[in-house]
Amino acid sequence: MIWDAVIQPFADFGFMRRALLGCVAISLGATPVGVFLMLRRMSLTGDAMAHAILPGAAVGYLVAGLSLGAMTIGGMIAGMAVALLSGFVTRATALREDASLAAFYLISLALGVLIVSTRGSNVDLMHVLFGTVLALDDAALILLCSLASLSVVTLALLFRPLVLECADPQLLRSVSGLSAVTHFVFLALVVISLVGSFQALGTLMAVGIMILPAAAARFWATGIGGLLIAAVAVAILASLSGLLLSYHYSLPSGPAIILVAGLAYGVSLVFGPAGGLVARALPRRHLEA
Amino acid sequence: MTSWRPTLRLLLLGAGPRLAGAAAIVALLWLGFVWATSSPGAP
Repeated sequence: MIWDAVIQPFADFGFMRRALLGCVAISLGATPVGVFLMLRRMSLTGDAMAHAILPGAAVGYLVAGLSLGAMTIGGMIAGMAVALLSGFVTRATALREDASLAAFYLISLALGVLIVSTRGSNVDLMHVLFGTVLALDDAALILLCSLASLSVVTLALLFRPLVLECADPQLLRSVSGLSAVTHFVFLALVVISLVGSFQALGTLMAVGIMILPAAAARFWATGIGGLLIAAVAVAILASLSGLLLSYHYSLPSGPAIILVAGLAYGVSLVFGPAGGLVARALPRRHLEA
Repeated sequence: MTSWRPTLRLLLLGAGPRLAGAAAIVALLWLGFVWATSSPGAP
């Protein structure tokens, strides 16, 4: 029974194994970045950046056809340009980061939709918007695993400055010269994570696997280590469950994965011990000497 | 006034175990790649 429902799809079909590995790579590489986005109160920044990579991917498609490398490089250039420009405007002018990012991502999104709708077909548009997690080939998997490896090693190296910037950016700025470097490397990690995720889940849902597990984990853990572990666990379980639901009930796999992550968020919101609705409703123990 | 010593200390404190953990995760991920791309079964 369990073999038929859970193991057999992955044992029998290579495309299911590839989809699972792609989702695990995204969970390991992109979800921890989502945790830091949440801690820095930049959850919507991820969504903005997901839209910002669209024109680069579209130009990559126009130049080289449905080439993974060209679309990735294009998306990375567009995302980095928006991240760097909005970061520069924030540091050089009176405009705050949310406003400068919103301005650049809206321009980028409009440009991307213009390019895709005037030069591509509806199928291309659907591919870019919703991804193709069940059609990941070797090249796509190598790209996803490479980006996840880069993200994991960079996060391990910059862990302390990143945590310090979440908790007290002024302190980081005063005790080291790493503030600006950390900020730009973090934005680069956001772009890299989105470019990897959009191959599988599309630009519209790429940010879902970054933010929803992070938001769910917030109700189960309070320390940064616990948050990272819980978020990655939720992302991997959502990927596995979403792929199995997609296989057994012929559902589109990307939305199934994100909806399972959304369900995990809903359950955590109600039953999570760290600030969930039930935990808040129950009377708390008084502290004793 | 900032200097490189506190910056380096901030970067390197506890970096060994974190990088070892990251290396283990990366190794497992690439083992998964070998499993997913070379196992028998329909493509």
